[in-house]
Amino acid sequence: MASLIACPHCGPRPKEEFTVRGDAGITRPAPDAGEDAWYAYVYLRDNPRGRHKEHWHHTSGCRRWLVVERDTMTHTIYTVTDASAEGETA
Amino acid sequence: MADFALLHRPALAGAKSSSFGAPSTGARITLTALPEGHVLHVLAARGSGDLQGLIPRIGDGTPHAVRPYGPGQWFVIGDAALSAAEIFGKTPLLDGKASISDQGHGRVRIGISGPAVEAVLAKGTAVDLALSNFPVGHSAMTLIGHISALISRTGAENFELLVLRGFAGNLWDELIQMSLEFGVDARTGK
Amino acid sequence: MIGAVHRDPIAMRYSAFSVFLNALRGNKGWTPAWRSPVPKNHYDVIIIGGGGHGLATAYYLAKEFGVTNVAVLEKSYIGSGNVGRNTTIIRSNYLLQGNNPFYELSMKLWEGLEQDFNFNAMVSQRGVLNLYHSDAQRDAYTRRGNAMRLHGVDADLLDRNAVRQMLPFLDFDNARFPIQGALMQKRGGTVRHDAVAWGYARGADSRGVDIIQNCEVTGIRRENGRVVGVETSQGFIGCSKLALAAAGNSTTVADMVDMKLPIESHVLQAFVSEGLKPFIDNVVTFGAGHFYVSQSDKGGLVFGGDIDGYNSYAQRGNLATVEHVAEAGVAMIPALSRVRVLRSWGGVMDMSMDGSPIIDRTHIDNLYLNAGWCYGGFKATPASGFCYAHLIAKNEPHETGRAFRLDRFARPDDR
Ligand SMILES: Cc1cc2nc3c(=O)[nH]c(=O)nc-3n(C[C@H](O)[C@H](O)[C@H](O)COP(=O)(O)OP(=O)(O)OC[C@H]3O[C@@H](n4cnc5c(N)ncnc54)[C@H](O)[C@@H]3O)c2cc1C
Ligand SMILES: [Zn+2]
Repeated sequence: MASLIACPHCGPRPKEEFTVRGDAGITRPAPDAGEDAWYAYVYLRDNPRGRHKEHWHHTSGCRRWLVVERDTMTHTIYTVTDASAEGETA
Repeated sequence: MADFALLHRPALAGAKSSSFGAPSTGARITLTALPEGHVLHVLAARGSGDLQGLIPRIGDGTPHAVRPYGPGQWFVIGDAALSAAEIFGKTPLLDGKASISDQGHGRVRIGISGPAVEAVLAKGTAVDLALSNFPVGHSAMTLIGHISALISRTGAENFELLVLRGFAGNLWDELIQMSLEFGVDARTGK
Repeated sequence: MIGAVHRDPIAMRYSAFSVFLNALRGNKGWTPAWRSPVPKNHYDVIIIGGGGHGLATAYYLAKEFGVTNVAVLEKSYIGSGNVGRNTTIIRSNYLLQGNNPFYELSMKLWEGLEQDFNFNAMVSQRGVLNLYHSDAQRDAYTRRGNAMRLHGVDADLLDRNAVRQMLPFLDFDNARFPIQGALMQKRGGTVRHDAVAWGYARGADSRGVDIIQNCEVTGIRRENGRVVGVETSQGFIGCSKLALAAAGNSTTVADMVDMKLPIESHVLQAFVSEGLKPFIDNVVTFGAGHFYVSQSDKGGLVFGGDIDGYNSYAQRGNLATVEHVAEAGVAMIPALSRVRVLRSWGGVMDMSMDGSPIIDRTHIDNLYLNAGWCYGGFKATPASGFCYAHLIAKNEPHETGRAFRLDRFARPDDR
């Protein structure tokens, strides 16, 4: 994981100020979506080797949820955006 | 619920209060436990737009009373203790665009100043505190070591730290440690 | 299950006579312990991944199930993955029904392994102690210990004084986390990890298994809904059955057949200190923070903590975890503050969604899956290899590994 995450609100900060939540690419199904949809949502993961979008919380900073797109192999961070800009996910 | 009165004891009442570290140099640090007056947490309502101009209405008018720390989030602080009624009385001033919660019980202010103050705080935070980057009136929520705190610049050589009450004593001790090379006068006001 | 040693070709090769003869010839006559064969066009079974599990699977396929036309394809060199990166702890102190018998089978296999594959794997049953620091933790460990005993596994609940006798240097009176005692499994301990890979590799190779290193699988070829072979960095290789054992890279291999897994890849770090005189006789785990430690025969303290916590395929972690591990270590053993760390490294592991592994068939008839070993798969190596070999050879799960179904998250009842 990269040492710095550039928060769109606070600027570059050490990754220790942030808390990872996990995959930002999955969308919570409707309550009645059925077992298969819920199984996929709760258990199955793309787990890519390469570009990956994740939710990170700037816990010790602005306390906003962010979407960090990064490479799980090289640690390069491509984009960091406020999660609200992504619309409804997870 | 108000069956018995809570006894208010300042968080830093029992903290170290003395002079520590290097004997007098030109760069001494001063640590001050600031009055536990009021700390108001203000959160903007969704989609309420830019409220920067609105928030000072609920402050006490002193400089740097309003401390932004993220989108739609502010702390408004002051030396005077406010009653619940006084706090509720401020809500209409925000035109329904933001809400106020009293954090007076939860957060404590520490003043830190001196010619070497930037060097001391740089030991704990990655935020660039150079005056050119972090001018007077600027605030940043960040980690100081392992403790989250809101750093606000109140003068060329003066900062205030707003920290969760339970961590105040620990941060106080760490700030003394971080200041030892310059010499530090820690004052809890007892 | 343990084969007669005298029939083992390896036993002949390393007989006292052979060792003596080679010594006379200045030890110049030894040949590599396993071959570097050119891949054949077709194998009955191809195993992807030359880690502990892949090699053990090949070994038991050949030795116990008579399946010898087998290739193990390893993208790097064998032992370069987690089998050579882990902290070598073995134990069978599991609580749950589906887990306990499996890890106990593994423990029994460890106990006979060196004789079985005739390799010194330095199996050391030095005892594993899990410290407890509160009444609630003691109760939880009592329950675990009872569950172990009900399964016929050894377990002892030690009080504070008993632990103090064994490990006097622990910080018993830590103000926040005083040590109240420990759950101990005497038969737990450590095993030299590389030797496990080498022992299984040599044993498999000598029975005809081709171990093909520097051979990365890049694609899986299918015809009529069945796997017919794999694309590799050394060309196409055909097979009748394909078995995945790629540990931290299970997802990348499963992606080749569009199979989505209940797995995330995470990094776990480990550390070794400078060599010290012997002072930690057992494996000890802290109950109030992420830290565990043992001392290697070279004297280095081997220790680790928790995963870094974010998805990663990089075999390195962050300093914040290093700091946490160091803090927790010093909280448990204050004297560690004077010890210098020599090396640290990371390994990428499959973290499954319930912390348990998967040994199962898949949606493709002749494709098998061994994955999700999290940070505890080294101790499982013998049983995993044995049960997986059973599954591949007989197309039927071994009784002991039956609970590790791939579809258990979707269909919890074991029908
Ligand atoms: C730091 C650390 C400490 C640990 N400590 C312990 C412990 O104390 N006790 C314990 O029980 N467990 C421990 N574990 C867990 C244990 O190491 C693993 O669960 C176990 O080793 C995984 O099985 P393996 O040996 O087959 O994996 P590996 O050795 O990783 O084997 C998988 C192999 O597959 C190969 N591969 C991947 N993709 C391809 C491809 N496309 N083509 C060809 N080959 C491929 C890899 O190169 C690798 O060699 C630890 C893990 C780590 C990282
Ligand atoms: Zn931020």
